[in-house]
Amino acid sequence: MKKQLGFYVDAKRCIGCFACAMACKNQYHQASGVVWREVYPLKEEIYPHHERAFYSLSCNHCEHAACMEVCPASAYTKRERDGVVVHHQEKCIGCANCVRSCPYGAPRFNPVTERAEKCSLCWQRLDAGLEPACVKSCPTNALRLIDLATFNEPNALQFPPGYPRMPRLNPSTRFRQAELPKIIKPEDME
Amino acid sequence: MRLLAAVSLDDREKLMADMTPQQREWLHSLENPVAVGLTQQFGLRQFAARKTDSMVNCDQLLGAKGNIRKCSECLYLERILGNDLILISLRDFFAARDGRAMAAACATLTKASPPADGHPTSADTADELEYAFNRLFVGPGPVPAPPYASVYLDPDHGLMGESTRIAAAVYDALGVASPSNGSLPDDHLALELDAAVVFHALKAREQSAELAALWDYFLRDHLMLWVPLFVASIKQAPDVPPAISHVASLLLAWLSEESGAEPVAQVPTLSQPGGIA
Amino acid sequence: MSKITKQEIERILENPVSRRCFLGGLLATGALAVLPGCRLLRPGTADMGQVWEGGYQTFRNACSRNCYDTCSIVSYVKNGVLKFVEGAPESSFTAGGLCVKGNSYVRRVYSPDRIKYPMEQQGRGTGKWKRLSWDEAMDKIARKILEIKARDGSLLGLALSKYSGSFGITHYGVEGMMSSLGYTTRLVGTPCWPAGMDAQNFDMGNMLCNDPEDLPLARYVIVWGANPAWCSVHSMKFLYAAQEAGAKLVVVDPVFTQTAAKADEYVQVRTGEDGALALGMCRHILDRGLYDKEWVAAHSIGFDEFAAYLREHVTIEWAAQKSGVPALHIAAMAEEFAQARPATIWVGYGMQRHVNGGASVRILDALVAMTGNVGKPGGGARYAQMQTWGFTYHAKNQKQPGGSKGWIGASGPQGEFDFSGVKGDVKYADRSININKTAQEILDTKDPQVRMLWVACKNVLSQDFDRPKMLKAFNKLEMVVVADQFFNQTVEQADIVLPVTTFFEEWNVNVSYWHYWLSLNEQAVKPLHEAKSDIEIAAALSKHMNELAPGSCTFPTTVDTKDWMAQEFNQKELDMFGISSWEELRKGPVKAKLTSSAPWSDGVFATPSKKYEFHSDLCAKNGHDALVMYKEGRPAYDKLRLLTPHSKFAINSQFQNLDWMADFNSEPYVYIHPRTAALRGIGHGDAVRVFNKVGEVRLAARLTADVPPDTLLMYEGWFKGLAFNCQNLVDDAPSDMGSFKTGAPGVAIHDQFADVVRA
Repeated sequence: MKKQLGFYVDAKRCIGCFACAMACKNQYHQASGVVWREVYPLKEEIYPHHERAFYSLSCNHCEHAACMEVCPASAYTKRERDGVVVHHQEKCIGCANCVRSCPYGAPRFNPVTERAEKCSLCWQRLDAGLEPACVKSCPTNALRLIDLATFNEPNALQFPPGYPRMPRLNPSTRFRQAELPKIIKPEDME
Repeated sequence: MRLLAAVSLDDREKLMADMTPQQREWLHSLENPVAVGLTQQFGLRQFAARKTDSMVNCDQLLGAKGNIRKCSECLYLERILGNDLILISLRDFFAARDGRAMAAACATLTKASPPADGHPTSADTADELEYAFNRLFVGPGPVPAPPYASVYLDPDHGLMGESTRIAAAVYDALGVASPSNGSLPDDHLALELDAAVVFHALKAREQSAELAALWDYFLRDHLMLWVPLFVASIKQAPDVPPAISHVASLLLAWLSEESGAEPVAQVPTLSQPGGIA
Repeated sequence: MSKITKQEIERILENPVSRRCFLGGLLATGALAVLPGCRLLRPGTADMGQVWEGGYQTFRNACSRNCYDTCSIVSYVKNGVLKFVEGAPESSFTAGGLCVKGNSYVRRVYSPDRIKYPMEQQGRGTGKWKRLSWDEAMDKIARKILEIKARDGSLLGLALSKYSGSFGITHYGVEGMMSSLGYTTRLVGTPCWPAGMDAQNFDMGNMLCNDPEDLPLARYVIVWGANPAWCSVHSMKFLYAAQEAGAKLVVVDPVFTQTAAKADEYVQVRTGEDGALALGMCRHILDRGLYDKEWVAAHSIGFDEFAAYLREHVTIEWAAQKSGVPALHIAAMAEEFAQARPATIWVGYGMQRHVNGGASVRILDALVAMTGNVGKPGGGARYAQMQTWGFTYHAKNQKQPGGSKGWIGASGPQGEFDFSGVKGDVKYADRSININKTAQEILDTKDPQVRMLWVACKNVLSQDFDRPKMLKAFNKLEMVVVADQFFNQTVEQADIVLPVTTFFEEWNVNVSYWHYWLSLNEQAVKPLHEAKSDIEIAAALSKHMNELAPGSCTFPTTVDTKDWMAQEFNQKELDMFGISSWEELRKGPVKAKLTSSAPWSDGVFATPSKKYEFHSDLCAKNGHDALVMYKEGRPAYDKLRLLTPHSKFAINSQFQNLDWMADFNSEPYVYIHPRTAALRGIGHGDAVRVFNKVGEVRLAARLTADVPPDTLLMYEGWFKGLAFNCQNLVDDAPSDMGSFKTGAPGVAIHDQFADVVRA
């Protein structure tokens, strides 16, 4: 298999601290309201506590990226060497097709520049031999960079509960699910 | 307060020739015992004119001298600096640290270009002006109209951004620098207006394609991109005194005139009624 | 003339060489002495400061916040501007990454909201501010200080409120500034951890904790009343490593916290009844003979008395009834804890913010001690340590001017950082008043009253208790001076505000009260606008004081922050870290050379008996029970409990005000159990009013069973532009302990009660 970089989101280790989300802002200084990486709390139907389990998501660098398919200006390319889907701001015409088409909400519309933006997997840092800013910052090593060609984690999921199931796009993100502790509560606290 | 104005010797001689003896005498009285500097290299005569307390008072002062209707300093500035009087006063307003300086600059601006709707702009005391100025532009709380290019032009709306660096680069190309050397962001409006003064002075003396291109860039690809947004922030802020609102309008008008976008109120010239008696 | 394009201009501007040549013969750099009309810009010089083409300058910085993790930072600077930050890779604790707050620092430094200049409010709270030059500000302040001195014959009318806003060591220069003026009034004590600090001192003779990096050695970890997943994110990897090595992680907390979600077991305990739960475990361990008889015999005193107390007053049924934890589980947990080799308890600060907080910590200590876990790597009753804080405190130790008059009478420690107190003239001292009762103290203190308040590294009106009372207290003050970076609720009520530097704009040095790393803080960028470091402010004040009244202030009139940082180092501190000079820290943070990751590993304690004291006479001398034992909690005075712990998005009142942070957390909530909400007709998201005898707070509600049905939960902090302040609900009831080591008792922050209705 060709090298395909992606994120491993280990929701078991993830404590929802938002360091990754803020590391991205620290690196790229996006305008207020324009967020490339979000940390989504899982609904209580999936994890039965209020905001205690999370999926940290930016772009999934899909095999058949929806953004690329719908872009009229060829402002998206997928790198041969590592499968990173790069957004080229200078070509973007701000039509927002990609914003509407990505089921994961990765491209965001910047109302000031009137263009789309999204995570491009810190490709400049990658090319300089550095980790993506978000991965580097994660204090629990819950967010990792993986190469799907060599990634071998038998319990990893591609489509965990709460994450849109889009096999045709073939997103490159993999997950480990969060776990629950044994809970000892007084009877009157149920 | 010292006002530095360098004019060419020719211009000054011409202006003096137009004056009455009393005006010439008055001008000389301003000059003595003030320092006169000379930069031989460019053949400019620099002199510092002692400014009266504020431009507002000059009429009263000269009323006592009889026929003189404008002080010679105003005459100079109007004739020589022309439109630059507005530019310089705008700069002085945004650079001001206290209410007196703000009021003085406002007064000059109002005299040079009274508000079209005749709203009185001197109703506010210097204190009220200062509180409003700080509330709008300085702090200590968050301000609705931070006077820095990067807040409007750069994606993170912060200080010391790309636009700040561009302003500093333009100053460097001009051979000048902000005296704060990195503490005060270079794209503060007062500094950028000061740079415009420098551009004007240089352009008045030299015909240079490079200078024209650099000014064009600074004006169209920098000032014109953020100053209108800054003015809009002022207009949208609550409780803006009429004086400051008028300053904002003049700022926009100056910009428009520079870029040839739309006509603005004329700066009074000597040929207008109320000029030299 | 061919037209030069915008792209060409931009390219020329990019390069410092090409842009200087651009206007060619038109003007030579520096040739024009003064430009026509130009008043602000000056001729450029040949060397315009450092210019970098590509690449970044990196600097070593240290997060100076009140946080377990005290991260070592690497800052990336270009053209004199801070561009981004990362964690230092050399520290095995920081391990290359910062938290959500650390990652927002660039926004903090360059926020347009930052206070730029000294300013004076024309009438407190009016919002009418005038700008002052530093000279004008210092002059006004100096004159006021001299006026107070003339009126009262001393400077006891000048008070300082300072705590943990910035832990860079030279910030103790603020205390030094006060001393250099004379004998003043100090708000002493700490809202943070004093009860537990006293408890550990009574039990062991000092407050020392295992190196948190030895947690993977533990086989049983109880995180008790602490939430490291929010408040010490870098510790989590060590807890995970312990779990992966086979340890059981148990979280004991009234609330199902984020840490609880990561544990093997979560035990919900009734708020304030941690002591009962732990005593139940002790009794069971005693009954089963599972305690470490040899260790107890060799290294402790008072155990027999404790055992007798347990037999007479404690049963696991009683413990179950008090704590809410089922008796069978108390027994199981006790056995697992006692049989693990080693076992450890992370004693949280939240757990001791109760009227019985100190007593509870003594019980947790006892549980760890009797099972032989004190002094063991991977073991211990982990609370905090200050042994890495052995600096010279040169900034702090300034002398009063000769002839200064002050307080006559008993004076105790001025807070927990009062290391090398310089007692000048023994006759006089500073007057100490309780920081945890700031409002009441300002109202009550007289002869002389508190006339002037200097606030630094603190946000009194956001964080101090009983806010309505505090506003009344401020009315008594003649002048309020606040040194800060943002327009917070204290600055709103200031007379003069002084802009201070972030740590990127000054030299400093930092250590942690949890891990054992030492970090240098280099100055990475110039101070923005007119910001000054606290010690530069002190120097400026001293200059004006001495101009008005020679000899009225001994603080040097000029300081260099780098030099003052260097002066904080002494041989003992250098030896602790195995370095010969602070310069070595430029290469990265350094860890203390510990003989063991566990303190007390030699079994010799710092108590009067040199042993672990289940029975402590010193404790009794300080007004508590000599024997470790149960103490009752605070009776309820309203229908529901109120808890106000810490948010993951802030450090107390810092960071939440930044717009980057608001992108991820935009408003405060009160969390209510669904049953409790239903009884009041409150739905998820409804606007509600939380109220009690102190005041009220209006905000939106969220429903969750993660809080007990009898409890309301809201997170303390300050949101930009919101009036929200939980201190409108929190009174200043003291915790039991704290006076011994810090000069004042703590606060029962989590022993508060309130009710809620739909708004």
